[in-house]
Amino acid sequence: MDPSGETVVTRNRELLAQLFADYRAEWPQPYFASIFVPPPYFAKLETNRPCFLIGGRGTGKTTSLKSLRFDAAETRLKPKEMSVEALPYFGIYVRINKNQARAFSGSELDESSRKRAFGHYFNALVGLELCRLTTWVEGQLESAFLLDLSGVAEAYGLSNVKDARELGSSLEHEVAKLELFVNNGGRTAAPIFSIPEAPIKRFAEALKSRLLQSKLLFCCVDEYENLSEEQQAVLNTYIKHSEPPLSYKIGLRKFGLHTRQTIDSGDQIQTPDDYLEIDIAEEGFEPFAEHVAEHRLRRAREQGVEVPDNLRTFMPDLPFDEEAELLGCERITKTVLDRIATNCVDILEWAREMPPSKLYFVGYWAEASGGDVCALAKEWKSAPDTWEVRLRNHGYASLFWLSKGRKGARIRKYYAGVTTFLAMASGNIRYFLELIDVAINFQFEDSKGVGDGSIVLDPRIQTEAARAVGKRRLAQLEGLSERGVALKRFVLAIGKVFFELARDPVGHAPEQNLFVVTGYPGAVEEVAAVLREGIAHLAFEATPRTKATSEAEMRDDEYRLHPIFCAFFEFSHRKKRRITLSADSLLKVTSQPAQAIGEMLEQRDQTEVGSLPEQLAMFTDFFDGVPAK
Amino acid sequence: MKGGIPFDGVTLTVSSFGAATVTSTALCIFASSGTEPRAHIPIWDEIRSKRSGLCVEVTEQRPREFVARIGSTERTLVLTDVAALHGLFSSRVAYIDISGLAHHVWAPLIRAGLKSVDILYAVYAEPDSYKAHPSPASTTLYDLSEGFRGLEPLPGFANLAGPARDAASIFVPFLGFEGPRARYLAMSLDPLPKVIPVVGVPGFRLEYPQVAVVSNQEFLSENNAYSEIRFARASCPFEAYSVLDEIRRDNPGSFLYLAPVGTKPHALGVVWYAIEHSSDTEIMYDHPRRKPNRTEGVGLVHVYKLKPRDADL
Repeated sequence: MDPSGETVVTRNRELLAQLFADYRAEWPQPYFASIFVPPPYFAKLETNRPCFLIGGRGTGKTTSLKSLRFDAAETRLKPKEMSVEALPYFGIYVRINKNQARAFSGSELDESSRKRAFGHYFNALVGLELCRLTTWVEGQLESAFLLDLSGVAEAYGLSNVKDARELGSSLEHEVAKLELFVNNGGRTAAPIFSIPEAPIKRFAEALKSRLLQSKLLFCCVDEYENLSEEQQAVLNTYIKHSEPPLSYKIGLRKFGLHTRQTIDSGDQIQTPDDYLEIDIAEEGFEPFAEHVAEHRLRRAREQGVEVPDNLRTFMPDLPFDEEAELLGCERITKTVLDRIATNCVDILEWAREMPPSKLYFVGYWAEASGGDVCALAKEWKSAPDTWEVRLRNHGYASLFWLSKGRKGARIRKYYAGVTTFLAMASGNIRYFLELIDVAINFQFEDSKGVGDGSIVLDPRIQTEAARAVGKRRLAQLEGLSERGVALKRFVLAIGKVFFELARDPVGHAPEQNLFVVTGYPGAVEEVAAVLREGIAHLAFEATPRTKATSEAEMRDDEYRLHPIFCAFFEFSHRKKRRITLSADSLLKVTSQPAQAIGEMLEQRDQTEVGSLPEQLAMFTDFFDGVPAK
Repeated sequence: MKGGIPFDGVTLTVSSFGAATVTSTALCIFASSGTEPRAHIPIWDEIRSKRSGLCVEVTEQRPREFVARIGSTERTLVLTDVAALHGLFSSRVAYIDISGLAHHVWAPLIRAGLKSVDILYAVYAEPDSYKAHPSPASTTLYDLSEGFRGLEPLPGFANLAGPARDAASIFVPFLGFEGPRARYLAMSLDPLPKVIPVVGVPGFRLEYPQVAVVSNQEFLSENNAYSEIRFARASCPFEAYSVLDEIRRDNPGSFLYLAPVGTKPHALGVVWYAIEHSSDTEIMYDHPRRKPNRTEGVGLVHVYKLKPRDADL
């Protein structure tokens, strides 16, 4: 390639990387306004109703909440050449810092002091953000104006404070006093605790009278799950009592609502009476995700990168026949033909006319059912419709079997195409963009390069990207929660079970990738607790979906690994059939994984180490580990 | 170390720490015998038999308090009760053996000691070896913790204000053998700021620095942090302190999130640094529940003179 061609390739790569690599949640982005695509539920968020926005890490929850913040909302208006006057709302954003929230719940203050101290702290956090909003709005006005906040200050127990700057500074001092109080277990003089929600309400009223006019005021609180039950009860009260212009927008992960209680005894927060629940996973993810990706492709084209504007052209899938051939179906077909030529030559001509991508299926069916190749081939010849149905139902599962015994095969199953990537992302926009981003990078790094024409992601490259993303997510599991190490061990063990089942069709239904847990109630509950944590952190999914807000409402008992791991463990990403796993076996995963996996596979023969895919061979010590002493 | 700042602290390193080294009027705080041999070195039994009134033997460590035997009496002390902790230091010289004490117990004691006594020593006994993991699911080779209480401030070390709005932040993990720990703490920061990891070099053993890097390789590569790694002797709190000073010097005005998940001497340096820079640091700690018999044997014993800072041992 000539130097100028190389420069163009480098530039194209950098532009695409910039456009697709934002799943890492960098914020703010200088080009945010130009690539922001409102998610399907955005209009619901923009109403005056309090909302609980539910989604795991990477579902776009934080992006949505931050986009409501006053400065981000203004940025979104700029390309439309609209002024802030056009905004129907102003938003502020508060993220719950777990280390700080735990400073209250972990202290030895009595319950009443803890609640009052935390309420004061939250009032101060929101107050500080509202001061920034006030200063920003004042800066937008044509004539100099400072909003009188002396009444708001009184609600915080502060005097001699007039405007937003003074109030902000005083609130910082309040936080410092509170820090001293908490750090000493309440043994220093207590600050004057503001009444829960009172100063925020008063602040909203002050803003409404002079600056908001008819606009709404959104208080976005992210990572609500980081609050203790007691702290959530305090803030649930704020939400329940909120009234225009103030409206709370709460971001939390699944099962992140630890309680529905408020501090008014017996009074609970309820949907739909008190708030609207928005589960991101149920809000039309697929068209949204395609729209986001196509919007970015369009941006790339505008900047001179030669890419298709249609995502499905950019990321082609692999038709069944082609995949079967790439996976080596000819090898099986040859065996089938040899058997027919030897034992039932009368159907040899028919068999030779069958495409290899179909005839191999006789070999698969013979192994799965223990039948005779000749008898099965004759049956196909005489009842083609029955066999077409069979191929439709079992063909996909047979693709996994094709790689059995092919030591050193680089690809043992392809994962390509928009539909497959959407299924693997399973409602998570960050995963979807990450899959595309990694595939783009791999395509540029590939020895075949990106070619001279329009850039298209090869199905092999897409597959390698899917495997790499699965591997990265697996590695990250350990850091996601206090139980991260246990979660990773569960995922590794269950993934290995489904890998083995996908490879070996004998004695079980095809495409088994769901599971239920059985056993003594205590053991089942212990496993369910880990799985619930796994669902919240996108290691597992539960089906059918039930209300995802509160752990107490969880009643699912059918699980699957999050499909982002399918390419890594090489089993079907399609939600299909279930197996039953013993809770006792699953609990052994933490200390005796080899025994646990053996039990879950009912002592079925497992793939020998030398035949394991490279990415699984890395975990041989885990799969074959010896019992801990 | 990148342009290291030599610290003026003093460490005495011995293979066998003798009672004769300890001033006869010194107060000694240590853990009672636990499941790790190095948690309770024999010197403390010898000193206790001679002057039990000057020995604070921590017999039970709970999340918010600890139980101590002082002479013939047993007391429960709340970890945020600053006055009570100060009251423990009945002598002008004190030794705190951090080997068998959990971070959430020794950190408040060190802070109280620094304020209460004229001469403060911290003692740390290295283990001879760590227990290997029988079925590792990652690059973590050792089997050290059975679970975690999760992210929560060390008692008395909460920072409620966080960084100033326009201040840059840096996440500084002191890396250890448990790769998931730095990652877990980092993931609570969103977005994750710049990462400057610290590795213990030289380590307790020749191979330990490599083990620490390998155990954290995914975290390091995901965050492009290999090129940012700084080094501090694994057994030296003074170098840990210095490296933080150095990071601050290279990144003026930055707020430091400190994750002391590596060696205990490093954690000691971190806690000490946080005590002296409380407004622009936040300690992030995950409170592991240690596995019984996670270490074997007793290696070298280190005695660190924390106060006064520039005196000879």
